[in-house]
Amino acid sequence: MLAAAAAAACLAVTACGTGSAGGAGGGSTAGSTAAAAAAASPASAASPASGIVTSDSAADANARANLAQCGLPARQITDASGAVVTVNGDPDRVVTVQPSFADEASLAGVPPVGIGDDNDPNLIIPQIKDRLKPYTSIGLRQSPNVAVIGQLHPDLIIADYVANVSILAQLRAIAPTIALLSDHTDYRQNLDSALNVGVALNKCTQMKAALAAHANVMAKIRAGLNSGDHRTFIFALSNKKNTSVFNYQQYATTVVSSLGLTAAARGGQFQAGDAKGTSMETLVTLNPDVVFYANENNAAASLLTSWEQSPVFQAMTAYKDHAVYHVDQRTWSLMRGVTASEVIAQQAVSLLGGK
Amino acid sequence: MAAATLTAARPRARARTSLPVLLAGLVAADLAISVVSLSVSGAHLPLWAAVQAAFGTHNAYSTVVTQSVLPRVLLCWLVGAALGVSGGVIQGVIRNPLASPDVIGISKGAAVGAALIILVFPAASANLIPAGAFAGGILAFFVLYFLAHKKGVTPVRLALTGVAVAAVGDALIRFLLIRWPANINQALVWMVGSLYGRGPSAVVGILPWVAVLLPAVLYFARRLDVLGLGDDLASGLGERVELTRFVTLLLAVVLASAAASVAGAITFVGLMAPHIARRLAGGKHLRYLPLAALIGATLMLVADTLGRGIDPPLDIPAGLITAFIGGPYFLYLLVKAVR
Amino acid sequence: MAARTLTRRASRPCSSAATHHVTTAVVVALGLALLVAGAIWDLGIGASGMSPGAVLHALAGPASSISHQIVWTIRVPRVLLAAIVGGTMAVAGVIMQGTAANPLAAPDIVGVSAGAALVGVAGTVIFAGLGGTALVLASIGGAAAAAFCVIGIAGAGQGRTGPARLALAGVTVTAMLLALTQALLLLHQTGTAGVFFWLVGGVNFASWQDIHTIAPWAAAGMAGAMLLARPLNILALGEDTARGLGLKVTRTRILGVLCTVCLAGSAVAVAGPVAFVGLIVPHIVRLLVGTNHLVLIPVSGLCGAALVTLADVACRYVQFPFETPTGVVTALLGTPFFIYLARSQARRTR
Repeated sequence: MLAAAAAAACLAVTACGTGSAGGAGGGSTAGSTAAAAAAASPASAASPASGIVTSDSAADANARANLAQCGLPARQITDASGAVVTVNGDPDRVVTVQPSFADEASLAGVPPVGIGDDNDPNLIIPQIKDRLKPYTSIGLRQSPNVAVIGQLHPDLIIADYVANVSILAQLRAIAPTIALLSDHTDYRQNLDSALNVGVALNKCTQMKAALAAHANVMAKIRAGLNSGDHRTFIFALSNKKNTSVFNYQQYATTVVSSLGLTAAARGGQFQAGDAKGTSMETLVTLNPDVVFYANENNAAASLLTSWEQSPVFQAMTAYKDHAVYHVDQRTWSLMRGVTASEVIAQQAVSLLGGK
Repeated sequence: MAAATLTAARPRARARTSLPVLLAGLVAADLAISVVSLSVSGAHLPLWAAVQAAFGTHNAYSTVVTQSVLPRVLLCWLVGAALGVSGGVIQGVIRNPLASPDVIGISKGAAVGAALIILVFPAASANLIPAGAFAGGILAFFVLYFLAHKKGVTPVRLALTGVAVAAVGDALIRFLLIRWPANINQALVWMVGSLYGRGPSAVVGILPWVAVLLPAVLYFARRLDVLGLGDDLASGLGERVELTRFVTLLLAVVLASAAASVAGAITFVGLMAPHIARRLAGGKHLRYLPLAALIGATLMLVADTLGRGIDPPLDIPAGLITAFIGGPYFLYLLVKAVR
Repeated sequence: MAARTLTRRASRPCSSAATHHVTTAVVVALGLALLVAGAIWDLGIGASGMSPGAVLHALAGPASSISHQIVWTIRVPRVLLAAIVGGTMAVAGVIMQGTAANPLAAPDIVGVSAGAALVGVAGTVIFAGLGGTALVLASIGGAAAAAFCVIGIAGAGQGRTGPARLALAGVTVTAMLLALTQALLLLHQTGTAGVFFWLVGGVNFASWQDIHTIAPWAAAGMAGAMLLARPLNILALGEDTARGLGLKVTRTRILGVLCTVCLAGSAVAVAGPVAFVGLIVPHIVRLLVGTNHLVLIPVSGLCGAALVTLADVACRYVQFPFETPTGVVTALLGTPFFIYLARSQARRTR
């Protein structure tokens, strides 16, 4: 019973799967953040540095401080860049650069009018798309079209702190803009971003309820796995020229870790930062029990699929146990956010033989 | 040498279109393209409303036009002019029609400076990127000059050393991109050359440089003509060859670096604009440099407008379009050269 | 240092032939030693932590043991490919320099690598189904197109090309091809870092499949190179002299370019555009063994193989423990050399 409660608490905190318990200042579930918000420490900017921003108490403090603004008619929101943005009233014309922000906005009951979908309507997975209303594409996430955004006459813009830093000034001239983290960061940061989105939209109650429901869903999914299942796993992305094994702090890895599995890509080559090119020898030396991998653009062939033909790869535990699973790049790597994590978890559990 | 050949290529003045007519015609064409460009942004702005917004009227399109589209159009003029003139001076000093700021390593130096900020210090203010690019370009010039200097600097040595400096810059950039790949997309877009996301602050950034340096270059126009006659002849005529070479190159490099600081490493404009200008107006700098400026502006306007208009909301970097125009132009040169 | 002493000795009329033989023997021995040492060292680096001794032991051991399989399937192809790519790029450089009669002509400078690389990127991003021989053929096609473009622009058809003109033309065409490559990278938004890794050039993820792909082309190219050795020797005497001696100059030039693109194009198709090998190696070797192509070609091949193998060793330490493409090391090595070369060329030509 206690274990289940701890697990539920842990799901919003993600660090549990990797062995570092969500400690005192480490984090709390969405439900109890209202209490913690009263003791919020001053917000500070999260810096993407040269790679991933990991769950750290400063960013948590950011989200908690913003929660204190819930319900106010003019909310002062501190975003990832450290800027304090005033958002008035109830925005209903929202433009989101990342699909993960679109996911979170729609969870709060405000589907966006403009989304950065890389000019590809199929980018957004159906589980999220069904909740969206017809929207205008604002172009690439890395370089969204400022004029199109302007023409949508939004009252709130949610930009990506890492990718859109050069156009923040222009966006702020159009509408209040908050820059949040989605890419180059982990599961927990994405949940924090969801919280910030909820506050900005003045839909705190809906967002908290959605996140609580999310925690329940994740707990149910996790229950489909054997509670003693702590197998090691990796997630990799591959194209014809390169394979990158994601390290233990990246989004997909942290989601699967929250189910109880152990991320094998840790230490040595796999420190902070984005995934870098990995050789077959490194992968074989890691010898994880389970391999999840996706091919870029969901191509049929990639470097990793050619590795599967090699006797060295076939000597791996994962191969012998038939635990090398091919998954979808969009869901596991491109979407991020709240809903995608549920889909990833569900797919992982059913592949691993759970219910 | 090459410049002399190009001027000699037209011994009889074939009812040459008079320069003022050419200039006026280009200005008119550029204005027309600018007006059209105002409405091309991926958001279907009605033309008249966009023009009104550009001139200060407050309507539904004001923010978009004044923050995003108008600055880009103005930048096309400024960057195009800077690159055209810069390329013209460099081609004159190196006496080779294939020389340009990108070829002798200035653009690469600017790219290294920008890449350093983008990749290694991504948390730094976005305003540092243009500063880094500017510093990088000028630094590359001093490295070039230092390496090419041996009791003075000859055009051939400048050209070859320039290619080597560009190669150094290239190697450094590759190293940076491999070592710190997190913001690789941003760095690559910068290096291809693009006016994406440039706003009023960028216009303010480059305007003073162009306003001061363009007249400064024209001041040296006659001296550049003399330089084009060959070092010995020029010295014989009393020209201080080394000094003039250094000063004019420095002016050209600062212009190119300023352009790179706002637009990234745009290729081919600094190569094509002076080329075309010289064919139209002959080899005298006072005649063809202003023409090169306008042709550069035209190229940038066309490239940027096409970039915005081909596949909205996708914003194709202007540098790619100039490369796509430059390629066929050089194939055309190839065909002509075989004769 | 040593090179200067050797050249001084070589300029003395009487014993120059004998000295050259000695020098060549020394260079060959040194090259072989470096190659073998580099290969063994390279074999000894890897995530599974086998030292060179353990590697050799594993190779000798039963084929079913994991160590043997790791070494044989992963490490050996990598070392082999490094040597092959180094050899082919170096020889491509020798042929190109002989053909264009221009010491600055090298596959990367003349746009050959850029053309092949563009095809390689297109093969990853657009035509993902293209593989094996088709890809190599396409790469060679791209390389050939680029080479003829550059030589055409620089006007090499009209006699000697000044080094400056060829370099500038090469840089221009390379810039254009690079822009096209970047267009493909930018529109292929995800995974740019991975493709870029390949674009810098390296043998980091080599497999036996790669060896099978490049081997026939490398062999054909080398054979062609050796057949061209004597014509290139004649061509080096000057175009008019060569014609006077009965050499079909234009045909030799075209064959030379074709040989270069065959060698360089196949190398790039498999390992990406590894920079500067075709520039550094022929120059240094020429300083040491003279300009007789019959000797220059094989020795350059050997030294190129040694260089890239050693570069592959060095590249592991650039940002240990992450993989760095081999091309980064050759680029960092090559650029000071290129500067030196450019300056000396400028000195020599007016």
